[in-house]
Amino acid sequence: MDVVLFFIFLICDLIIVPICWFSYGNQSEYREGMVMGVHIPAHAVEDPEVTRICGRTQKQWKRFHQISLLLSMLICFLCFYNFTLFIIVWSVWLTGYVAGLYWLIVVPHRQMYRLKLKRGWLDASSMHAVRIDTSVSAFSGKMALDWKWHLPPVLLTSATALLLHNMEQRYRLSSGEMTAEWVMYVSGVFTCLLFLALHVGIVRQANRVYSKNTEINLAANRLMKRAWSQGLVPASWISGGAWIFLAFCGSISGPDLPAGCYGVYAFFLMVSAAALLVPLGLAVGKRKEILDADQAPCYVDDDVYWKYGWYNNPNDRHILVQDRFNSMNYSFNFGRPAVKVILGILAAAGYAVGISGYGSGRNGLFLSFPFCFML
Amino acid sequence: MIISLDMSSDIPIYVQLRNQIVTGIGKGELKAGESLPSVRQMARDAGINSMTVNKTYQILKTEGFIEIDRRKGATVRPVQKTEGRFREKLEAELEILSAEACIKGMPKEEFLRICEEMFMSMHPAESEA
Repeated sequence: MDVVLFFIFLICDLIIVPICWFSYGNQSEYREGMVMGVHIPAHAVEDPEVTRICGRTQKQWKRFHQISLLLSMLICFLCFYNFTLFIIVWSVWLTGYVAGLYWLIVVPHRQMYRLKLKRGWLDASSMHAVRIDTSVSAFSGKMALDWKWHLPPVLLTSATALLLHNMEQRYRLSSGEMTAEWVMYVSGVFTCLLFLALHVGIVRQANRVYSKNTEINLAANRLMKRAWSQGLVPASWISGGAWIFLAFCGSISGPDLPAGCYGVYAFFLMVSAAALLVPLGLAVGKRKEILDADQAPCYVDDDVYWKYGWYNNPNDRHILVQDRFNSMNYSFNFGRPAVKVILGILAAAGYAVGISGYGSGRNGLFLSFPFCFML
Repeated sequence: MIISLDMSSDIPIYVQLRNQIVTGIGKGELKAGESLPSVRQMARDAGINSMTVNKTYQILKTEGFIEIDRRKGATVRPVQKTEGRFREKLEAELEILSAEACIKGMPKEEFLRICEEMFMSMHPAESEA
């Protein structure tokens, strides 16, 4: 079991760190009229102060990730010594890594924004403008796969409650002994529901106007919405299938499953992650090509709502907006009170699952890990 | 067609939206028979209340610029013949513009030249096909 846990956490670290490294690591490039997430005119890219901020940020970014990756790999060896100690140290590492990421993204962004104000690089005409491309908007309903493709995995994972009930009866297990299994059940069903909610939320997102050319706007918006739906649907099916497989194994073999079953489960979770990320990664690359070829780009200077490093616009009705620092991601609008409620619920759910998993012992903690990680 | 709304303007959003759609039809950027976004989608993309968009569409329908069908949604109407009602509205609005131009000392020839240039830039398209 120690070897299995070592490899699971090692592989997770080898996935998390490089993905964050490369997906957030190109803030210094001038893209969509922005550097470090701040709109500046094209001529300002060569400004010495801009070059200095970008150069320093790039160096710090690279060093931070090299150290974090090495540290995460070394920490995994604690699995063989004391698992509780490993979890504590790994959690501290993860917290430090996320805090470091946040610092390295937000601080240069704020420096760049202050420089923009100092140099007067504001585009007053577009600051409060909202643009809509009527052709893209009219085509919106046909851009992505139907959300109903998520219903089968949601229903099938929900139905595995019968398998767990059967296991409880067959092996005469108490409620306390079944805690880890029920935590896993909730994790499996919630994952599929989350993918469904993400699908609906993302497809309903406002279409962006990148250009005065309608063809480019249509191509870019359709590419991203389709990629998200094409990623979320298989990810939901595969992750749901992973849990269903584990539930079947449990109902046949009982609570003490062989390590191979967990290995297959972990493998399918990784395939699910790849099924989501690969289409997205390809779509982002393709969209960059389309936008780079655009001769008539159209930008809205809404940096004032991003000045602190997160989106805060009480006048914008959207709860989710495209992330300023990673166009593959979405960010909450902290100007909406509903966002604070949503985050509170998610944090409470993650905390509750983590605590219940920890209370179930090592297996429970391991089994609740995917859920907490996802949150 | 790209619609641009100024959220800080004193002009109400529904008026801005109405004016831009009418201008778009006049310039041929929105063709007869072309579908407009649904009320819900337009509201989502603009980040405004769907009641505002609904109000705009109702005004455009009353003025005869669009038609609304339950299945097809809102579509641009073909060019219509001038009605008496529209003529009265045009005369009323032109009266105000003419008065402002006179008060500001604009010569008649310049005023007419501007009107002609604006009118010549309008090329309402007959149909999407």
